[in-house]
Amino acid sequence: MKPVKLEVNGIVHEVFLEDRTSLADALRDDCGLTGTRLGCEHGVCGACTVLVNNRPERSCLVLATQAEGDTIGTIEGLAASPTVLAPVQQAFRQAHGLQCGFCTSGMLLTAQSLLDHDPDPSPAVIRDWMHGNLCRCTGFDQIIESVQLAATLIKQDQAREEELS
Amino acid sequence: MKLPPLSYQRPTDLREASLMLGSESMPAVLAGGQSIIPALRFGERSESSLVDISRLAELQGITHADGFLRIGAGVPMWEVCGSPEVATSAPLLIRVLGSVGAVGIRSRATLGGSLAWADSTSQLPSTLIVLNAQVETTERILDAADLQIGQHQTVLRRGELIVSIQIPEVELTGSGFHLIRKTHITWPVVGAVAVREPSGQLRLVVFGAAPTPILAVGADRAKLLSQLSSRILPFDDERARAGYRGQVAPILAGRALDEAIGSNT
Repeated sequence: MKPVKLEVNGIVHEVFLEDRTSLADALRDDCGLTGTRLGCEHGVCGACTVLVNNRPERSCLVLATQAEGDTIGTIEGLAASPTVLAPVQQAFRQAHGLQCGFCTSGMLLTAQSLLDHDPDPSPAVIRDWMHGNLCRCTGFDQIIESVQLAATLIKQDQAREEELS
Repeated sequence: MKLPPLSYQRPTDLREASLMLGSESMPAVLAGGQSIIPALRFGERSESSLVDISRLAELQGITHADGFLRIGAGVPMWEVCGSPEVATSAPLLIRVLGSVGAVGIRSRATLGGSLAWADSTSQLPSTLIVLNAQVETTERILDAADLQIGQHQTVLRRGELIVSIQIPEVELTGSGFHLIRKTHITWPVVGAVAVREPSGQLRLVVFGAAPTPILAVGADRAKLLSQLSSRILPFDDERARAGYRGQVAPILAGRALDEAIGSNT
């Protein structure tokens, strides 16, 4: 066991971990952030996706100790406050981008990262980004539509902010 | 499946990395970790110590040097895909990278890691071979075609690390890439990648059809395909039977060649 500092959603967590502890397990078991889901644990399903330095990564394929010094973003940090939904969350709710919700944390973080890097992605780009996250409920079309809607909502928010300022 | 107990070390430079890798505990190299972490979880690999080379500055950077595009072995595929230098000098590599895993894998996975992992069904080593790339290691410079000698086996010695991949900056007059895979996220079953050089010479590499990539070079499409057929040594794995691979490989090779001959990229 050794001390590891993890910066998650802007807060530094000091935890004691074995070297073999994955980032996913550290987030869930040691930081108490159970919004990150563990599916296959070998990189196929994408459920455990978190943002590391603003890129989507599979937290089951990263050792927690490797992520020391990185900026980690999880589903708990996506919305500005616990009572407000982020645009991607709002869009997934509105466009039926989820049913059971198990894959949703990973889906939302991948979608958020996509829209951060490309605010106006084509359907082909959305498919390319989202195919690494598996969903066994929705059939994927609604997820693609949710990401498109999220792009629209974000643009509307920005237009409104510009008007106000 | 959880990882078995293991120890983790992060060296600060290449020299320290080589020393750590030469130690008695026989550590494995941890680059992007997208292949070795699952393999350790499944017990397919049994190393109990890892040396993390992912932050070594010597393995980073994409530069032009002496007629080559030099890509640091530790550059994540994400950065290779987004690099204007690569888009100009090796657009085929970007196209092929788009078929590797998913965005959330490419954010960490590296070209050096892919070469050293030496999976016979991977499209990346074959693409680097078709582009006539050289592999710079801590000890020597190798042709990419000479690196792999079997499934997960390379000529790299203990402690020898891949430092960079050097792709000749040659304007190709065509390229083609075809593969079969069960899902977008899984390793390919079998595939082929081909280029046409300005002289009219064709280079073809087929993967997933033998324990190592099969390279064939020449100007004549039919001769290349007959060279290929004598060298196909297909194998069974969890994704396909040898018979299927043997049948499909020449078809994909033909399509890749047709695309290279007919296309202008």
